[in-house]
Amino acid sequence: MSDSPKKEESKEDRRKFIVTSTIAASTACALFPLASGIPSVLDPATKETGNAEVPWTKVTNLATLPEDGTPTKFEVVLEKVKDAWTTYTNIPAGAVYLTRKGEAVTAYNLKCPHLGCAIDYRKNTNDYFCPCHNSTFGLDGSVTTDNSPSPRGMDTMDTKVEDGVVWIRFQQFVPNIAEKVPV
Amino acid sequence: MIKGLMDWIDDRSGIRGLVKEALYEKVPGGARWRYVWGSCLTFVFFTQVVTGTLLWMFYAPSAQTAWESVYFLQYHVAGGWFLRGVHHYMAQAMIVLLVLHLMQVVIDGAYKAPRELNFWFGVLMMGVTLALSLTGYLLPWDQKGYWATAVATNLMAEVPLIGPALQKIVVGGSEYGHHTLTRFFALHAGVLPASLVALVVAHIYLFRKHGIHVKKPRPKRDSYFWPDQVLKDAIACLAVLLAVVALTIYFRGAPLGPPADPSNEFPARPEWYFLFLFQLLKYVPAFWGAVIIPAFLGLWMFLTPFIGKSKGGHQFNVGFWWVLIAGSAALTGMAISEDQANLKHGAAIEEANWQAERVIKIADSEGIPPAGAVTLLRKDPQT
Repeated sequence: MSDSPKKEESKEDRRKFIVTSTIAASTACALFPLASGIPSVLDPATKETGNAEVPWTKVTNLATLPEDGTPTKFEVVLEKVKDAWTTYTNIPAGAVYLTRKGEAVTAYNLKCPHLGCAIDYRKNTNDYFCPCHNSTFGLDGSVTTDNSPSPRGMDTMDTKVEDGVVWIRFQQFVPNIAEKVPV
Repeated sequence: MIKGLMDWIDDRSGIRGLVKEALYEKVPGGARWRYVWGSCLTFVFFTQVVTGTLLWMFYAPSAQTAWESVYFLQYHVAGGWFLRGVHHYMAQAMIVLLVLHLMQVVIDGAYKAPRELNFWFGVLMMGVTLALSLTGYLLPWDQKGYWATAVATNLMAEVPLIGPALQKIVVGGSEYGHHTLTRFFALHAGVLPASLVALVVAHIYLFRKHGIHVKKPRPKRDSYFWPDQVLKDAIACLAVLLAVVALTIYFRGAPLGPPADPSNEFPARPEWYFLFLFQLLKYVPAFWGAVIIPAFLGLWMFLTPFIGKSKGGHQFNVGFWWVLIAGSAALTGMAISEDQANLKHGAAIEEANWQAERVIKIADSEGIPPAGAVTLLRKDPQT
């Protein structure tokens, strides 16, 4: 004998409830492990950067720079660098080209504003050249070729000369955009 | 549109047939709560693989960076304490569930022919899980893990002939350091989980081949794995999940002691599920604890399906396992109560807790030098 329509309906409702509950509970279990780590994985993207006060760092003596404006490469040794949990003291954190015009000094970041390769100074052509993607820059840091892949000129940073010592505010900038934005 | 896409995928993969085969397995005598443990263990292992991979993004295995990277995750990464806590307490849940699963298999006689091979696979998986716990305990490179692992690896040297060489291979030399961590990490995150995945696949294949072992078929009608048994499994998994989340929130994540320091002694204690072995080593020589007893237990587990062939043999097996669990529980209780009564031990733990708080405070304010956080404590006039 078959069940009455009412009984059949309640059986069907019960099955629907079981299936829905099972899917809900299984989905919660399946997603939980990944969800438990999402905030940690996304943490770096949520941290504000580029707003910190940039300290002045001593690079060299003015007398070491050629007076004709020829660029000279210097490593930048920062007094304090924090990498996640480790605090380093007096550690090389990058490099710059310094050029001198009288008492004024300009500092160019060694990193190409295109995609971050290290830029060379070419003595024979007296310009800057990125060996990765062939961006070329003049001595004033500006892009010199129309088809240069770099969207902006070389990144400069604040400099000052005090008592014959050259100081800079060493910074990195967001690559591959037209504007110069600190990272 | 979705149906069209599903048809396209099914034509090329046969996925519907596979899902149907997986979900519509017959459950003789209907769905039961006593069948949930295997699914719970699979869920817990899945959680450990996912959370472990996420933890991997933050962990740096070396003597100067292991504790430091864990500290950074715990105190300076959003939700880091929660992620670490879930991994830590899931590991504890896995041990509890393993014992429950094993006892269900033994009591129901699910280890008997033709399921012997699967029982042995299960025993192997238990060994791998314990090895995962042991290797994971060292990775934060805090005092507790450092000193407890020293005991565990010293026991290894008791193995005849190959013991001393085995110890050096596992430790990565004669002293604990960078290579102990890289090796333990490779074991914990690579070799052991990969072995466990292979064993889980074999275990589930054999389980499906022989079907569910029904001890006493209830007068209930047979049903299918989906949805009746899956619902029970999912509810049990949710209960485990909620318990782990509750523990994680209550204890604000997993503990992290002061950084490992070979010159600063700490009373070595293993995790609670190894305490019975720790207590046993007070009464028996190390050779017994490291070789004779594990070899005897291994042999006993191998013989369990054969002993259980007769009714008396099965009852003997059940009794043996109950005695083993009761004995382990008693030894664990003794270990805990002896420590509680030991004022020197209590003072050492209090001192370590104070050092942990202190080093975290200094690291927060001054940062950690490349030589590692242990140097902060060594230079601190207060410690």
